Amino acid sequence: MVVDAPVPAASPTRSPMRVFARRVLRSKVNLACLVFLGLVVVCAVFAPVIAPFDPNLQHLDSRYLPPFRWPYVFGTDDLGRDVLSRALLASRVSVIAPLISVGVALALGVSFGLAAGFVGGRVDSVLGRLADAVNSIPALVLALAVIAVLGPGLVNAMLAVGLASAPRLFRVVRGATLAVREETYIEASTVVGCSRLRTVAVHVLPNIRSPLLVQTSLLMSFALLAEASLSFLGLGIQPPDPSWGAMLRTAFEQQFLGPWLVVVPGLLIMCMVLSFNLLGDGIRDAIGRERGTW
Amino acid sequence: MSSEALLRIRDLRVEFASDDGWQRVVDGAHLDVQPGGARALVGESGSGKTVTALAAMGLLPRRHSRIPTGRIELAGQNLLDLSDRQLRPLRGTELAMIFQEPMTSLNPAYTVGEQIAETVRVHTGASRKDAWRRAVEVLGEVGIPAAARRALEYPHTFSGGMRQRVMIAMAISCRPKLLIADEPTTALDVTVQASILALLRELQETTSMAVLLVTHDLGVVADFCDDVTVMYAGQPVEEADTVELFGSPRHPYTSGLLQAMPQAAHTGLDLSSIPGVVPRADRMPPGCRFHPRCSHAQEGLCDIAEPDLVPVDGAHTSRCLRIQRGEIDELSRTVDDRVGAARADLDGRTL
Amino acid sequence: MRQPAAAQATSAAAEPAPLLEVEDLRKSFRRGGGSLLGRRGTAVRAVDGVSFTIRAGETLGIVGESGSGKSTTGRLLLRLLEPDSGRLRFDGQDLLIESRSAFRHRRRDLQMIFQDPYASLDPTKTIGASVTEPLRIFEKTTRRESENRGSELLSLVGLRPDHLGRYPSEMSGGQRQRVAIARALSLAPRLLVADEAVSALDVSTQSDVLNLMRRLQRELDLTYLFISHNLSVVRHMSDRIAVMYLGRIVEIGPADQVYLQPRHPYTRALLSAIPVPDPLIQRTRPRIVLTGDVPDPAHPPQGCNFVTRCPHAVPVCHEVDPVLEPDGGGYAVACHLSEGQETPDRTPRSSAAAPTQTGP
Repeated sequence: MVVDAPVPAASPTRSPMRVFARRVLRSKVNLACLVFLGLVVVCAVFAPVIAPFDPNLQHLDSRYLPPFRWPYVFGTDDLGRDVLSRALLASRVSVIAPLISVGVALALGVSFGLAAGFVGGRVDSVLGRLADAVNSIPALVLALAVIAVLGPGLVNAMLAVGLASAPRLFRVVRGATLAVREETYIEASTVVGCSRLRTVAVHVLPNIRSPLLVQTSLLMSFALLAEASLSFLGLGIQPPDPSWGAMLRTAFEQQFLGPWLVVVPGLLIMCMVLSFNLLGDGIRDAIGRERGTW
Repeated sequence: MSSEALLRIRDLRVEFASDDGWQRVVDGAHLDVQPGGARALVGESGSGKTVTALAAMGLLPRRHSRIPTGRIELAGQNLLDLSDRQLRPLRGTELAMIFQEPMTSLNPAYTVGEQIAETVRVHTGASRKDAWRRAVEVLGEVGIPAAARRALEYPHTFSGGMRQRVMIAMAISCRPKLLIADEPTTALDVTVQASILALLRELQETTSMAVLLVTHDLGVVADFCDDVTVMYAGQPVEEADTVELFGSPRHPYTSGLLQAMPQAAHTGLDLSSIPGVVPRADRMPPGCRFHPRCSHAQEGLCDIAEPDLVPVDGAHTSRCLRIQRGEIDELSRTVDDRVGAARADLDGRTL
Repeated sequence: MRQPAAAQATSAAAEPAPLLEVEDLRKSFRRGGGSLLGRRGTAVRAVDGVSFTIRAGETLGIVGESGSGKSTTGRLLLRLLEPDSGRLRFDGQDLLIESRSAFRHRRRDLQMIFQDPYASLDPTKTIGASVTEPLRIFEKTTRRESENRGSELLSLVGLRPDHLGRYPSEMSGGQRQRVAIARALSLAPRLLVADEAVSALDVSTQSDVLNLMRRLQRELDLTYLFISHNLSVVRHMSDRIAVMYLGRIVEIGPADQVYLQPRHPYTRALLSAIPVPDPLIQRTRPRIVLTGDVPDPAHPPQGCNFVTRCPHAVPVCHEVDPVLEPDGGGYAVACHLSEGQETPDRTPRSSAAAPTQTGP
């Protein structure tokens, strides 16, 4: 009796995820950013294999070589170490360090943000004040304080940066949760018997993933910069391990003997930060173009 | 007849940008509004009725839409030839529009009097004092009690129905010749809807303003309009005088819509429905766009040949090949035969 | 406080025990307030002493305009909102003494369909995931079982099993509402609250969904509380109709009686305001056009709630709040003018309300 429409052509399922991905990838800028970040990750994973030299091996007979002097493609530094090899190995830090701090920020920001947004009331105001308090301390100062207590080191520094950027994520998650909480499908999930925890995990979280993704991308760039700054100050990665920030430090110290040393790490940091920022904006645009599908 | 029409839309096509390129949302809109007349533009969601109305107002979003062909003539002048700057003075004085959502159409930062007076000043160059006087006057005309006092109040102090009255007041403040009303009562309660329709009817009588009423509600059409254009999937499929159209629909879609309305006489029986959904703009079926849902569709005809909107009975036009060929005599109208018995039963009880 | 009589009247006349009994249900919301000086704001009485019963297998329609409290009533029954006071008995058991978590198991018996099928399905979940979620929660079904049950449920509501893998954004409004119905039916509930279930749909789709709901009622022995602002639709679906105005029931009774011989002036105005899709009838029928809008529920008028818009108001209406007066036959009306003596407008309705005289 109930005849349904012959559904117009059985098209392949357009999952909201897939539609979103297609929309992000349509932009050449986004694609370029993703390709660059992908390359960095590949370098990070295969650094020991690709690197032509041991990054810490000192060639004291060939110090301060300018670039394009075979076999040192990007030249050598003050201790005669191959810049290319060091830069390759340093990409590991550039991948891991932001992941640590963004991981911390996500863990704190998402859980507290969801709680504040969904439960509301007193929980919301207490968590909000807490976030304000953390937020009132500049991230780098907080990082310095943590390092002062726990001692220098990459992991400590990045934990501190993560803690400092958690409030930003908290605000975003809380705001998005407040909006999603009013949706009918949240009420519907209560009707079909979801517990509050299930509602939050299964229905709220996936529906705030787009603003979350934008923020994560922007936070990655912030964390990368923070890592570079701390390593530049000598508070992050410890010698002889390379990081782009630490390499900049060397370049800064040797600016009269090897002025080109600043180019490679500087450009890499810039490109990676730019990629994360552009990607964040690109995702935001892709979401903005069609609300509701994602 | 059409030569003297106030608004004449001919062969209007409108396309919107989408992820998959340009999509034709309106494909050959065609309608006339007579001076002082009331024309209904009826259709379900996705029929292109609102887009047609917005095109007539020149309100389509510039960057995401285009009009490849068509004419929209207001008193003989093709509005599509005009630049935005030339069009602007016409809005308000010749054409005005009211929307479904009266809440979002008013600026919350200004009093309603200021907003109406502003409209008046922009269009007529009247002094502040005269414009204010006109604003109060027109608020009174739309039945807002204590208009002089209410003009000083902000939109949030007005209820939904009163806000729609304010919108109407603003629209008619410069005495437009044509009012385009896009679902003006859809967001309102039925009792308020009745009073708004009564107001529009009264305004029409006193000012001889023509109205193009865009709606999905056939009841509202029956109440208010002289002529009806029914749209389906971006095309007009039937056009007639209201009494004629309701009395003997000449397109299966119209007849389907009429029968789908729940009515007292049907109680206890299943409602008739139109199976399926309106096709998407990028997946229009070949032949007649309605044929996949049509119970009268004939294989080898309706799925191949594309019908035109052709007069079938005087000024009554239809985009149905089988009707045009005279193969279908009578389409069911409001009340289906199978409910005859139930009806007689009810008659006995009521009278 | 004023209306329990109606509940007794209906249950007295009824043979089977009512499935749901609602007694003097109340709910207020605070509006405004939250200022620095503490929480004040005005109390808005959204539901103000509502009583009714629903027998197993019947459909009670609730009709009213915005601000009438009809949707709030529906949400109170499912405890999506907590009532301020009143009694809710389902199958003889008091629902309100149960804790919120214990009430979760009532979801098996009490389900709901929402107005907007575009909003009531999680856009990030497939249709299959949405439809079978209640099963996974309550019956801990495996993935495979869920899939089978999901297909069954979809075919029950006239969709194909291959819709399981789709997303809401790929479906039409009517199809989504079918999905919502399938989800509500997955636990085989006994009472289904439909809140404006077809209001967001086009006419052609609306009739499809209404037919489906009636078929399911017959086949699955469902009881409906059908809430809508559209009296024609309510009349089509319901055995009995309750008309609500400003948080109260003003008239309740068998559908035919309420629709064909309404006694409350508000019901009459409501009926006359629904345009009949036939120009010849619509333009000649007598119409009652109410003046003004529904009053602000935070400041209801003194006396009868309807007095500000009532065309027949007499002095007593401004002073005394009328009681919902049952006539013993399951019918009740709250109007001073309908007690005993004839009112000027008591004549049977003309053909206008019911479009039965359709001479061309």
